[in-house]
Amino acid sequence: MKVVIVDDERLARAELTQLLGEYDDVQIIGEAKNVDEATDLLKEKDADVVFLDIQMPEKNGFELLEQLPACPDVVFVTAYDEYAIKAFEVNALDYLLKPVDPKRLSETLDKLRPRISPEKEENSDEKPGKLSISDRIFIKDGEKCWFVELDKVRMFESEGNYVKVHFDNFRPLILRSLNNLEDRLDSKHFFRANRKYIINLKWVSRIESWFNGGLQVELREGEKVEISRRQAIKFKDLMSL
Amino acid sequence: MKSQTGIYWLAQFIGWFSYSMIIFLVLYIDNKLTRNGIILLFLFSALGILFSHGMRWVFRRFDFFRFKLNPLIPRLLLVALVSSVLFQGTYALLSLVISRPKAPDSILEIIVEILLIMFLFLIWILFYFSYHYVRKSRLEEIKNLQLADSQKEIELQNLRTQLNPHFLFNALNSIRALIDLEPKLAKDSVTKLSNILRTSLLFGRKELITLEEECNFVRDYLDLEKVRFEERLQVEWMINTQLLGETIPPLILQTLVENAIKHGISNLKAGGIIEISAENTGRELVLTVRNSGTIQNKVDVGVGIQNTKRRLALTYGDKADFTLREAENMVVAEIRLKKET
Repeated sequence: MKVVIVDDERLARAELTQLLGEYDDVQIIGEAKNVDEATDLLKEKDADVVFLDIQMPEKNGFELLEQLPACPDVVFVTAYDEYAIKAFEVNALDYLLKPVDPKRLSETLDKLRPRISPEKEENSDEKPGKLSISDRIFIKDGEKCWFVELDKVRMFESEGNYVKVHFDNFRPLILRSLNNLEDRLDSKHFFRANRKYIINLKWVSRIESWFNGGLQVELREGEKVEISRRQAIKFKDLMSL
Repeated sequence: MKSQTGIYWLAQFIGWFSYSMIIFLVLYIDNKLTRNGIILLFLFSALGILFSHGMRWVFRRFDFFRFKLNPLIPRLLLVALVSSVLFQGTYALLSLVISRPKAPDSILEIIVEILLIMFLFLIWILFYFSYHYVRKSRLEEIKNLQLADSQKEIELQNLRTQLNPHFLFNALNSIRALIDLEPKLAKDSVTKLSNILRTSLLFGRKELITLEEECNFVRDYLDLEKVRFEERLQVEWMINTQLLGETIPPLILQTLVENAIKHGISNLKAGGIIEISAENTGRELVLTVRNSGTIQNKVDVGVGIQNTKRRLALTYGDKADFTLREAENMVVAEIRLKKET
């Protein structure tokens, strides 16, 4: 597995490098000492996992995740940060506490291994820059954080300068435009229904004719979205063989 | 307790004696004073003391002090009435022995006499309970003051002994890395860390320490942070050595240095400098911590700053002053302590 270490302290990076050096299947492909360096590194190299410190100068670990297009698997490494741990107790992939306990690290790597190899190969023939349906995005709304697989997102709803992301029972806001998002999403799975909504086709349960030549689709959780006349033609094309 | 009983008896005698003296004077002026009259007056006062003391016994025996005003008043009236009847009965009997007063004209006369005694007893009760309540409320006031004082003490202790866990675990993490890379520095760091832990435990129990003790602590602390931040942390000391014997609340300088790292140095990619100074302006001891960086909005309400303000206020009242400002691209935290004259 290809690993990137992001921490502002040289000794902290050295310590983690040393600990990870014990594992033959772990290959450290880069280190970064701040968020900007990390962003460049992750754009350039395809990492499976990022070991990420939260408190760093100028931009913190969360901000790195927010500015990355797609989120690699992340393991947070932090000294003592009640806030961060609380935020991730809900759905953290994992977090390690400094100084890192080697046994605990071994458990983390066990959790990571099955997630990595097969999926990544599949994704490599996708067009670069596009998010695939199995990619995860990082969402931070106020104090809460989520890693969400695009698969689970039922729809994106435009709300002024923000986009509301509908998944499970949550509707957090992210600072993006719907147009920007549409460019990045895979058009095989995500469909722009109208000015306000992008829907996940996997979640569509019923389609009805609507007046004016448009359509209305119902999603499996009961949300109803109207498809404008112009988009309805595209939609029919997409759904028919 | 003894002195309370003393006051009680003194009040009893003075009260009844004064009463007797007034009657005595009235009789004297009216020219009605007789030998028997004086004896009866003496008897009256003695019975007064006896029966009012009896009432006191009842109040204490049945703990009348626990009652609120509404249930208390009817009980007091009852006690006063019973005492008056008994008083009047005893007095009448004893009077017969001493002299031969005319038999009472009617029941009405007896009732009037009883009511008169009751009136006296009610005045006695008023004095007794007023004194009791005034004393009780003063005792409570003292208790409250002592409580506030001990709460202040506890609060101070809590504020004093806060060694940042973030620092602790980061230091341990650096040391773990150093064990292989630079064993000698690792050993030094362990020594410094244990100094810090030990001292912070000792400081927790003291209200004041010398500036020298505080500086030694801060020096160890900064040495450890330097291991962590390496070239990103520069430190400059400007301590007037004549001031090393001055006393300050423990870890007060440390809190400012910790803040300088947390909000200053650790937020700068290239790091920065921390300058620590202690000066004497004649009337004030001025402790200053300057660091590279700018004040972020949240710093003003930061825990460290608030703790510092609170601790200075608790220890020195209005004789200490704390300010945080920006000057020449540095954040300046300053404590001014007025000297006692």
